[in-house]
Amino acid sequence: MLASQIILSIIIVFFILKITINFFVKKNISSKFFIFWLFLWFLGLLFINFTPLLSFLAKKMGIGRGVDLAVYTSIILIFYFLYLINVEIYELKKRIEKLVRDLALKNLKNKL
Amino acid sequence: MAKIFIVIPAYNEEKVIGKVITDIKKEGYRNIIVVDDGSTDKTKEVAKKSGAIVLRHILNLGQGAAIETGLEYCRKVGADIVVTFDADGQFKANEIKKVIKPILNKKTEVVLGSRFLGKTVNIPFLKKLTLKSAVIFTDIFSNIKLTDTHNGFRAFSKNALNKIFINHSGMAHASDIIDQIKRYNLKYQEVPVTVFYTDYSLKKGQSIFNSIRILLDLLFEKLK
Repeated sequence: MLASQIILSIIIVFFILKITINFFVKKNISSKFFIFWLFLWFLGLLFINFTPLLSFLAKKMGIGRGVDLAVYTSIILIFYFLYLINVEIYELKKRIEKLVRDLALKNLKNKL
Repeated sequence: MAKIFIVIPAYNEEKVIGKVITDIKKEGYRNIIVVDDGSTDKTKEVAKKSGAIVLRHILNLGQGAAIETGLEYCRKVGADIVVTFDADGQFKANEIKKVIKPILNKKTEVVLGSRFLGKTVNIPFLKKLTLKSAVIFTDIFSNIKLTDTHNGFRAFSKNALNKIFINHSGMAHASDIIDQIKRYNLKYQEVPVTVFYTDYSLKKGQSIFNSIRILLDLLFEKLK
């Protein structure tokens, strides 16, 4: 691996970590979520800088190249997060619906 | 005497809602509930002036959610029969008695209006094609054979009202109602009704592309 690749990956991860820490400090994300993200980016950094480790894992799983394993894992993770976001939006919509309905009916309580 | 309530979901219908309410009142129905689904025009004021009870959503949630709010009100006041009716003047108020008759005679729990058993005036070809596709979809996924699945003219008995709770806030509520009729094994009947397609109702109505969204909504709900 080229030194420039290592430096670039460290810079990118550093900026992402900075954003994540900022979010955590401002209490926009929970500590559980913060640790999860830290772990995820730590793994990313590890695999970028120690490519043989990724290749070793890929071979164990029957996938030819390390980079293929990284791409497959990313796709699975992206779909999983998409699903989570969808469920979250659905739940939020249900809550908003209940709130709006309760407000609509509240004003009429006297007429019931 | 059965307590009959007419529920009208409305979104920006200031031009026609007044006439719709007046026509229903002429038929002798006094309990008219208009659910103003976050309209930005004077729907609420016009409906109130015409003598309806107005429930106001502060946000636009969709037709399914508006009907459910109306149904919830009817549950609270102990309605015996609830009729859902469109706000855009597509239905004939004098057909309400025909729609509620099977429930009054205790023959059925849910009455579904059907434009394909009745009369359609000026229905565009694409609209007809979409509605017919919905009929096939319902037959496959809900296992109910109907002639018209997405007709807003319906009537529910007290028992049906206390069992059916609409989960879909958008247009997919029509399929949701049919699913629940099947799930709770409610007796249902189709009654021919007239549907007018005026320039106004076509402009306000569902586009063909929206039916794709309805389909996706339904699939998401089924997979969830």
